[in-house]
Amino acid sequence: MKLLVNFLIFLFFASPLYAQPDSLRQLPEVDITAARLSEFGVGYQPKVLDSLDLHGSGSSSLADVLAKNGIGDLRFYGPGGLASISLHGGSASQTSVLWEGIPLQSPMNGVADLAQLPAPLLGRVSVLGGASGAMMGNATIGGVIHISSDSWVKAGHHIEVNSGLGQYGLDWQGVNAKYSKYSTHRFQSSTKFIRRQSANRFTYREAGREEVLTRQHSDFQQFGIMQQLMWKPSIRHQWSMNVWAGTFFRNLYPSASQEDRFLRGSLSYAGWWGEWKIRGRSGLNLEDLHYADLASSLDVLHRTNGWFSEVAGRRELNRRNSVEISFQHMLTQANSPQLDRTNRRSMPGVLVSWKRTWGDDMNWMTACSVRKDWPTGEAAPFMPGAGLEGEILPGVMMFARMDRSFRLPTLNDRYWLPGGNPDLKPETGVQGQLGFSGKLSRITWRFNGYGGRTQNWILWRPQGNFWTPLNVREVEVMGAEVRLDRSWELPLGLLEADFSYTWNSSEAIKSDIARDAAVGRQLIYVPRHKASGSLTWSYLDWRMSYHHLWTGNRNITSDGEYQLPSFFLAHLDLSTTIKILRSDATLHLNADNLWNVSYQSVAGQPMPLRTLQVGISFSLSTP
Amino acid sequence: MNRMIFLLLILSLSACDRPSPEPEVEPGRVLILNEGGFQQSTSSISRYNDDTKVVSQDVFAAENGYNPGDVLQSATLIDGDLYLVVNNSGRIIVCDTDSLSETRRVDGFTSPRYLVHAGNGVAYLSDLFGGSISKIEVSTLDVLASIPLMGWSEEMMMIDNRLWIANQGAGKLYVLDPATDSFVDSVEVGPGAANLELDAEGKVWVLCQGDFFTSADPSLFRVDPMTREVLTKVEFPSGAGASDLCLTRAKDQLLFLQDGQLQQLAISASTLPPSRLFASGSSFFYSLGVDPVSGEIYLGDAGDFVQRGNVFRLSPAGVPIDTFQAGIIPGEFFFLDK
Repeated sequence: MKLLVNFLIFLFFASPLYAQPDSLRQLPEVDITAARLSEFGVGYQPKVLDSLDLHGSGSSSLADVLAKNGIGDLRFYGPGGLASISLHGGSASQTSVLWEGIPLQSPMNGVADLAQLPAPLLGRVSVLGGASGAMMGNATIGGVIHISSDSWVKAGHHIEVNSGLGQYGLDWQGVNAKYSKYSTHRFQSSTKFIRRQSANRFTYREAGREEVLTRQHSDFQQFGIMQQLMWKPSIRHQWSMNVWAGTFFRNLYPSASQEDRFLRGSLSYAGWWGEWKIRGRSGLNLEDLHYADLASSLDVLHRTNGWFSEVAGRRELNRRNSVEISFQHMLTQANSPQLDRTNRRSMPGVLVSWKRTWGDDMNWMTACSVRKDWPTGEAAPFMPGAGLEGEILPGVMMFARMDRSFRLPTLNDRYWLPGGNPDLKPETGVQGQLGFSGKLSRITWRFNGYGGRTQNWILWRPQGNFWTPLNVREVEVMGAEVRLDRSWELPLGLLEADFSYTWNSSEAIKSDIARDAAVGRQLIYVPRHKASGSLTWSYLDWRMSYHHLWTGNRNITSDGEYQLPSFFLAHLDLSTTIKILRSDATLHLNADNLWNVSYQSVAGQPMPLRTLQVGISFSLSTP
Repeated sequence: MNRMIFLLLILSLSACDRPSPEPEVEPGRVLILNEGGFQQSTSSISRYNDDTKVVSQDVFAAENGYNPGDVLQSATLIDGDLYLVVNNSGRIIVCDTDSLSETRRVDGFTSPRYLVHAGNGVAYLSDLFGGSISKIEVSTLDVLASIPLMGWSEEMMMIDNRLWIANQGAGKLYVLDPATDSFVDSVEVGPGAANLELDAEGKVWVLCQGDFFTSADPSLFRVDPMTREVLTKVEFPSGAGASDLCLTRAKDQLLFLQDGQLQQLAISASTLPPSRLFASGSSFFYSLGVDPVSGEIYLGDAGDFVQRGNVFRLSPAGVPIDTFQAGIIPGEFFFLDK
């Protein structure tokens, strides 16, 4: 349904441009990575979170929103703590998180901290489960999360101010101001700001105990500002610039603290040059991580830089065939006392994609992509990928993909002092998926099955007096996802319901470790079973959503002897909009963990009992 | 209909909670202290009966209803009670040696490592991050004094009414007079001084693990506790790793782990032998213990450190006898008296 809604929104915004006589081709898109996915990502079934999902949950992080929607396997180190995601049974470092095409994973440990991504700042999030090494490059064995900024809005001034309070000392404020102009050229500016902080003294219960405890020393403060400029000097050319800066300070129980600071920016161009549609982008990501521990007298600053550039050209050979060639370069470097000073990765690469449409109604598509990267001092494998989708029966679509993928060792893996291993091989995998979707009576259904293997799985093991990463295991992944959606038109509004279930088997099948009890066992923190359902009722300016999620047992040891128990979790979001003069005031109430369940996402890291947030936002639009 | 009622009856009966029999705990005298995953509170104690060859897992949790905590570091026997030191929980637990039933528990230590009984109702506690040695009243676990000592202090032992402390950061052995709680001497050894043993001739051996950042390799020192002079220094090859120091039952041979494999050295030797006493293919041993009664050698293999480890039991000559499973990261072996 979200995909459909998103597609309709896309059509809505795109339609004025299709109507113009010299825009027969297509609206030049700002986001070249997303554009490549939409153009050549044939056979995927992405899950899309739109502004309704992202902005309707108070001050939540992207991790909270993904968890609420039952997407991926999230690991939370408590509210405000590190939150990471893995897709399709992979590890967190095998899932790539991109903002405007810029990787957000730390080049040091390969993991993106989704707790630091405030959902209200984000425009749109696409989650692509499954390998996509050919299309998206490094660290996409499990999948890709692609974050985009806002799309074009109608001409005028738009401003939204919001503020809220939550339990345990949480408060937040945000501003979202946009200006959009239509004339001989088109211009849009969007400025977003968010600040949130919490004493975070939440209550929790330890497993098997009735006593209610209060978390100490886990307060956090976050500040973020995002500026987006889009300029379209003519129908054939478009420029876009995005800048995002922020800080996130958190106390880590019991005696440590961490402060993250970052500055990210990108400059993009898309335009038609004769028969070629040229897209280019250059993006920079500067991050500081300052960690201090009073107990160990450790005070360390890690500074990482990432610079990404891409130039791509697409051409439609004829009505049915199009090709794209893309040249990319990624440079990463870290300045850390714990890394060898020679650490630096320069990775040029080339990607060629071809798409063909056929069938009487052009209702079948196939696409192939091949990628080759040349990281300095390492060997990246050749990456092919192919997809097929089409209508196999009236109203029934089929989606199929087969991809190779890889994950290069992180800078920590290669350069950590002591123990970094410059001889590590990249993890490599092959994954295939086959899905169907359709409509049965009034139920929209979607099924996806997947399977694959990953070789050279990297694990840190002791060697001599220190630990070092080694390629030790081969892992086999199989899974299936089912999703059902249905809506009812009631006398009082619209009721929408969805249900999804995921089965995932991720097991080590080979190992270089003697008597490795992990062989044949489910990987740690990957639930074998997961289900979620939600009910959303909308009536006039009222909207109420109830999400109910179930997560099965998760191994916390690789031999499966120790497990975190399964848990049910429920969330309730209630909002209403009131017209005040020319502005809209939206009140919302969010209740997380509605039924006061004691649970842990990561062993030893308690999660809060029922938590309430209330907020209000004022929005005003003038032509 | 009758079938339906019968089926429902069966289902309702099968749904009843039947009391599950408590697992039998073998009264073994070999305790394996399993550290558990860091910050995961999965530490445990396995109990091995070397007569019946039966191992009982999670015996502490079975008795007390909870795991010892986060990183079970060491155990010390004082006046018939077992004192467990839980590093990352900052905790000391006192328990009965037969049942392992907790009798006292105190939290709030910084990062405790090892506890040594000094007599007169006091013990000393070393610390990883605390920058001090704590003097503890054994009966209450109250801290009587905090004696500043910079850096990571590790194993300690009492010799002639003096407390010897291995200090990793300083690369020294410090000698403390418990009567005044003042340091009376120090002995310069090597970077990473960690493990202490007293050999058959009354000499102190210290295993220094080296320091990667200064490219200092591991080393072994033999020190005369009377004159506090270094008698022997044994150097390791460049890039080697070393940990865990024990003595054989006769205390005339040192046993330790070199690059995760078992190595032996006579106390009269001054150079390392070229070959290991025992090496096991792809195993990288994490812990070592020697039964003071039988002389048998116990080696802990932690696997990938997030699964139950295995224990290799060897004869005093280093010949493999058998293996058995322990808990997550078997880190220390403690041998109770017969």
